[in-house]
Amino acid sequence: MSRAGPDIEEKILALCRKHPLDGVEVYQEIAVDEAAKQRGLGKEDHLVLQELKAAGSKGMWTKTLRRNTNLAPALVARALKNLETRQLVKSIKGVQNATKKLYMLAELEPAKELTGGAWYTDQNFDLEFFSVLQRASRMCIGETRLATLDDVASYLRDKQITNVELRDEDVLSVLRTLEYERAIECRRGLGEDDEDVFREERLPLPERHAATAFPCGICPVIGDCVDDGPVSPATCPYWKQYLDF
Amino acid sequence: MAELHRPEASRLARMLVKEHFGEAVEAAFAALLLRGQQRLPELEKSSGLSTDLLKKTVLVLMQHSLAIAYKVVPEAGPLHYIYRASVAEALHFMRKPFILRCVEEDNADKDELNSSVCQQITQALLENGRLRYDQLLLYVAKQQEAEERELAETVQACFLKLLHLQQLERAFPCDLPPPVDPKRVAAMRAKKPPKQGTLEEQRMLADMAVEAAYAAYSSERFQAPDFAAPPFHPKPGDKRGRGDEAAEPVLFRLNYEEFTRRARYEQCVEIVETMHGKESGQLVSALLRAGAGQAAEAAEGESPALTAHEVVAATRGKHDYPAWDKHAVLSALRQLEAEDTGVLVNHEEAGRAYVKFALATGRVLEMAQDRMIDKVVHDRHGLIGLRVFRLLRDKKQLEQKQVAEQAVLPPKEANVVLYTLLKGGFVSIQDIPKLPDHAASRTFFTWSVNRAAVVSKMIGEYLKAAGNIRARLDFAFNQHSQVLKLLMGPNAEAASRQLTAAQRAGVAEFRRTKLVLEGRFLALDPMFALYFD
Repeated sequence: MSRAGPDIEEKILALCRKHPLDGVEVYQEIAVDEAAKQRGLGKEDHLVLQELKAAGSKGMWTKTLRRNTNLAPALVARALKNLETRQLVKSIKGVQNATKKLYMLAELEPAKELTGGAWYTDQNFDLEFFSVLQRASRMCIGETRLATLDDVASYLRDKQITNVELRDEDVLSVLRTLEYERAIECRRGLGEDDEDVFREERLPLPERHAATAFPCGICPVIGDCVDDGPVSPATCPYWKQYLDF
Repeated sequence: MAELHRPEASRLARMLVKEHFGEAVEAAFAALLLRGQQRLPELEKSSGLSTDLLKKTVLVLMQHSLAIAYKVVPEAGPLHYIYRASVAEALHFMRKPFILRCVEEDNADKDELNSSVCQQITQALLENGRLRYDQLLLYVAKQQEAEERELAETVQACFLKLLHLQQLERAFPCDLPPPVDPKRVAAMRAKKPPKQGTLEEQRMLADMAVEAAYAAYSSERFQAPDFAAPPFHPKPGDKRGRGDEAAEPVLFRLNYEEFTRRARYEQCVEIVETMHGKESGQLVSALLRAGAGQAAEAAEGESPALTAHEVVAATRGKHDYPAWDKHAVLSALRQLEAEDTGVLVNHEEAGRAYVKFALATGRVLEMAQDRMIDKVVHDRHGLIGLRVFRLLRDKKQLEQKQVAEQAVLPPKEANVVLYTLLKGGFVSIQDIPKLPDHAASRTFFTWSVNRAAVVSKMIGEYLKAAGNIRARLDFAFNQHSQVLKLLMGPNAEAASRQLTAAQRAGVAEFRRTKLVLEGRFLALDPMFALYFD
C-alpha cells in the first residue's frame, strides 16, 4: 500500500473514518510474498480463491464452485489452473469418494473426513497397521492386567510401534474396537480420577458352541428352508457334507 | 408363553409327538394346534379320526399333559369339556436325558437302593406322564424285582424327597374351568366394584371363582398324598369325577419347571466359573443347590437367598463339594459380591447377625444370552460383523457414517456389513425424513439393534434347527427303512444274519448318523432353557 503514494493512503484512511466497519468493504495489509502471488490475478481468480478460503480444510468440488460463483465451467477451470500454477491452491481426493477431485488452499491441511485420519495410507485403509495396533494394545493390557487409556498410549509410543503420531482419540478407537470384539472389557470410571480402565475380557466368546456347531446354526438360507421345499433338511448339501465322515 | 406361539415350535412339537406316540396321536395333536381349543365333536371333524380312536388319542395326550382339558359349565346347556394343546409339554421330551442325569446327580451320595428308586420313580413318570402313588410303588417294585411292602418305606422316602425338591408335583386337574384372561382380571381390579345384581358383577364373581380354583390347585401342588389311604381301584362303569370328589385319585407328574430352572442354573454356574474361576463356580453351584425347592420364596431375577451356614449344611458330605468351613464360605461369598460384575446380591438386613446371599440369575442369564448371540454373529458374519453389532447395541442408534467411523472401517465395507447384518435380522434400519415427501436425499437413515427382536429370531431359528435335525434323521432312516424295520422286528436276529455287505454298511452309516444327530439335538436343549420355560 505504501507504493500507491501518500495521497491515496490519506484518501483511503479518510474513507475508513467516514464509513466505519459494518459490512462495508475494507482493506487490510497482506504479506509481501502473498501480494506477489496474487499480483495479476483476475476477477474470476479472486472469486474462486475467496470461495476456497471460505471452504477451509474441507475443500470444495468444482461443481460446487461453479454454483457458488456463478461462473462458466471454462472460467472456473482456467482460474483453478492459474491458482494451482501460483501454488495458491491444491487438489486432493477424499477417501469417501476417490473419483471426486476437491480443491483447497495450498497452505491448509485437509480435514480428517478427507484423509481418513491415522488409519489411511495413500487414501487406502491400512488394515495391517490397525491390526498391529490392536495386537500391541492387547499385549499392553495383558502385561499390566489393568490399563488406562494413557497407559496404552504411552506403551504404543514407547514401543515405537508406528511413526504416525497417534492422538488419544485414535488409541481410544483401537481400544473400543477390541472391546466390541470381546477381546477386552472396559470398566467405566474405576480408575484414579474416575477414568476408564481396560482389562482382558473375562467372558470371551467360547471356542465352540452348540448353537453353531452344525449346519443349521450358521446357514445363510435357513429362512428359506422348509420340508419338501427346494431348500430342505433332506436335500441340504451342507448336512450331506457335515455327515459325510 | 408368547415365544412358543410360532410355526417352528408347532412343527417340532408335532415331530416329537409322532415319534413318541405314533401318527394317530399326532393327528389329534396337530388338529388342536391348528384350530385351537375344541370340544370332542369338533376335534373329531378336524382330526379326521374315528370317535373311538380319537378318545384314545385324547387320553394319551392328557396322560402326558400334551393336551389340557377344561370343564365348561355354560349358563344354558349341558356341561362339556374343551381341549387345548400344549406345545411346551411336547418340547420337554427333549429334556429326558437331562432330567435323569439331574436325579442321578442329586442322589449320587445316597446308598444304591435310594438312588436307583429315585431314578426309577423319575423314569416311570417320564414313560407314563402321570401316575398315582400306588402305581409308582408297583412300577418300582417290578424294576427292583421285590415285593411292594418291602420297598414301601424306601419308595415313600424317595417320593417325599423328590416332592420336597419340587421335582414332582400334583398333576393339573382335568376339571378346572378355562383360565381367565389376565388382562381382564387386571382391568377388573383397576375399576371400582360393579353394582350388585348387574351382569358385570356376575362376571366378576365368576372370574373370582375361577381364580380361587386355580389358587387352590397352586396351594396343594406340592402336597404329599395320603400314604395310608387304600390303593384306588376303579370299578367297571364307575362314572367317577362327576360329583364324588372324595374318591378322586391324585396323580403326580414331573415338574418340568424345576428342571428348566436347574438347566438355567447350570448355565449360570458356567458363566460364573468362566468369569471368576472354578472355585467361584463351585461356590455358586453350592448356593443354588442349597436353595433347591425354594424358588417360590426368591425375589424376581434372583435365586433363593441363603446364609453361608445354609450353604455349608446343604453340601456337607456331598462328594462333589469340598469340606467347607462356614467362615471361609462367608468370606468367599463377600469377595464374589464385591466384584464389579454384580453376579451376587447381598441381602444384609440391619440388626441381623447373619447375611444372606443370592445369585442375580436374571443378570447372569442375560450375560449368557448375550454371549451366545455374539458367538452366532461372530460365526456367521465374522469379527467385523461382531464389532458393528456390539457397537450398535452399545450406542443404540447411529448413522452409517458414524458406524464406519466408530467401528474403524472404510465406509464401503461398513455399508456391506450393515446390510448383511440387516438381512440376517441382527440390526434394523429406521428412516427419519426431514420433509414430508420422504425423499431419500433428505432423509436420515439410522441403524440400531433391537435385542428383543434378535432374541425372538434366535428362538425361532433354534426351534427350526431342532426340527431340521429330526427331519434329517427321518430322511436318513427312510433311506434304509426296509432293512432297519427288519432289524427292529420280531425276527431281528435272523434278519441280521441275512444282510448283504451293502446293507450292513447302510445300517452302520445310519447308526453313525443317528448318533451325531441325536447328540446335536440334545445339545440344543440348554439353549432352549436359556430363552424360555
